[in-house]
Amino acid sequence: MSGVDQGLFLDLARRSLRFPIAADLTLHEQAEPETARRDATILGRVIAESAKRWGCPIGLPLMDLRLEKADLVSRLGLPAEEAERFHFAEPPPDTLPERPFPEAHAAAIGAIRWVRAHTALVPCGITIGPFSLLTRLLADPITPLALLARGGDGREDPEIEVALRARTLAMETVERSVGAQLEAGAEVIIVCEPSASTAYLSPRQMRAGGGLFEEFVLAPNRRLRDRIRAAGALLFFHNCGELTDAMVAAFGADLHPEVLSLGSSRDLAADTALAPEDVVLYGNLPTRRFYSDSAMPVEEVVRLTVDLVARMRATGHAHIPGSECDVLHVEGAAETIGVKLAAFMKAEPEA
Amino acid sequence: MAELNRLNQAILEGDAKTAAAVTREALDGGVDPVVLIQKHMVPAMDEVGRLYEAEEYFVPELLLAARAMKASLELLRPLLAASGAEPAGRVVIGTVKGDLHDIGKNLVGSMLEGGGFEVIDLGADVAPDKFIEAIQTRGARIVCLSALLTVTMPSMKKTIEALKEAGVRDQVKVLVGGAPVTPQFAEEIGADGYGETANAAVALARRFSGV
Repeated sequence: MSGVDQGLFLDLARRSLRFPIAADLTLHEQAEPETARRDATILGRVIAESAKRWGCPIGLPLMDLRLEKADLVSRLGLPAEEAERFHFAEPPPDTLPERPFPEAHAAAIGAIRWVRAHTALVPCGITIGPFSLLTRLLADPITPLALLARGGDGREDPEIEVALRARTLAMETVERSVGAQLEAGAEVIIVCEPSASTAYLSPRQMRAGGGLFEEFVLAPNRRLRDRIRAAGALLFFHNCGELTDAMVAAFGADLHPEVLSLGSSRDLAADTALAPEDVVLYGNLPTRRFYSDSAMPVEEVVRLTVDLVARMRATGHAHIPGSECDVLHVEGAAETIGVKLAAFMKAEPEA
Repeated sequence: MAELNRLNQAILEGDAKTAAAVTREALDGGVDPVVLIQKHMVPAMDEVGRLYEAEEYFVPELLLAARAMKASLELLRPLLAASGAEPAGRVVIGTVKGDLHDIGKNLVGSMLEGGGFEVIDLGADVAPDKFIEAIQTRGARIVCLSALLTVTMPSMKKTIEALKEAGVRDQVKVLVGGAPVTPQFAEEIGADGYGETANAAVALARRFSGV
């Protein structure tokens, strides 16, 4: 059982801390980033170095959402390297054999242990959400979901049958990953559900009823939350997809994570009305565009940061300014991304 | 005509079975395939695009409509090929090397097909030489490059450079799109156009093809 304070993130917000999720930048400063990704000690050091750079008391990991799918594919007996291209073409088996985690996944779990043993940081794990994993297991995840929403079932449509059985394996795989990370000492788990958005779940479907959002997104994530809480850890729920107000309200009030992290398409100040007071909002600078000086000059980063901080302070809602997702290394743009993150860290509204 | 309007409606509702059934009935009744495409399928997909722009439709509705349109198109293709009917244009589309995301690319491809274009879909993680091959061997005159990740955007530039090196850049118009892509980036890498949405891509493709 972890001993993390349930009010950790509220306290960080009260202290006006801010930080990006940006371990990928530090990873790419290593001589061999791909080797580092598979080495728990180097990865632990990367996480610690990132936390130090951004003044973050949490050991924020790489946001590598490929790991759980690679694990699932490996347990199917296929090489983990084939994972990204793999999709179920026929109904998958009901269960998968136990196997060791693939190298990169084992390293990510080992890095949590390293952070716990060698730093004062709050150890943090990360996983793709069960729904987002499901969408990556199907060549066309949208059609079976839409057919289900229209009342179809697996007996009539093989696509639905594949989706339903893949959902079970997706949940089991995510639980296995989260369980191992909690076991390694994670006190915060970031659950990333970017597919639980209007790209995959139409608001028209939601308005028409049928419970797809509840059944495929909320219920499995509640189960995950309960498992995380039972271990005494905190839930940092991340979704940078295009969301409706109803989706944000459900993530805030129904899942009720300690932190709700949203993408730059959301107006965070307006979203304070949708999230309970004790849910800390994280984000949501458009960091995906930091690579480009023409699309996002540093002056614009300063303006957006000042505006975001001022508006969020005016609401009084607990908020940690940050990135809209993980800030990824972009070849040839490391310097400009670094300059903009530095500007984001310093920009303050006039008193 | 009232019967044929069921085809428009089936596409709008994303009902593939009905779309195929109405198409089959129409062909059996002697309706010209070109009429089915130009008077029913293209307008229906244009309406789908309009509803998407108006945020009344979302990605799932768009893809279901495209699926219905394709169910109909599958029946028409052999007849069109036999009659020698030409498409509005020939487009090669793919997600660039290193990027496996294909929803945006699929959307644009479907909307282009709905707009009467012949679409050569190379899939995801496409190396530059595959685009070059499609231009040289299949006569594609519009190249659509998609990327979802900032880390794979440099592949767009590399693809355009490869087109230049292969001597085919001047034969084609290059359109780029994807979540992190901006008009500025498109200009920086020497693309001919940037489509923020699938509809915008279709409008650009029509402009480039003089349709």
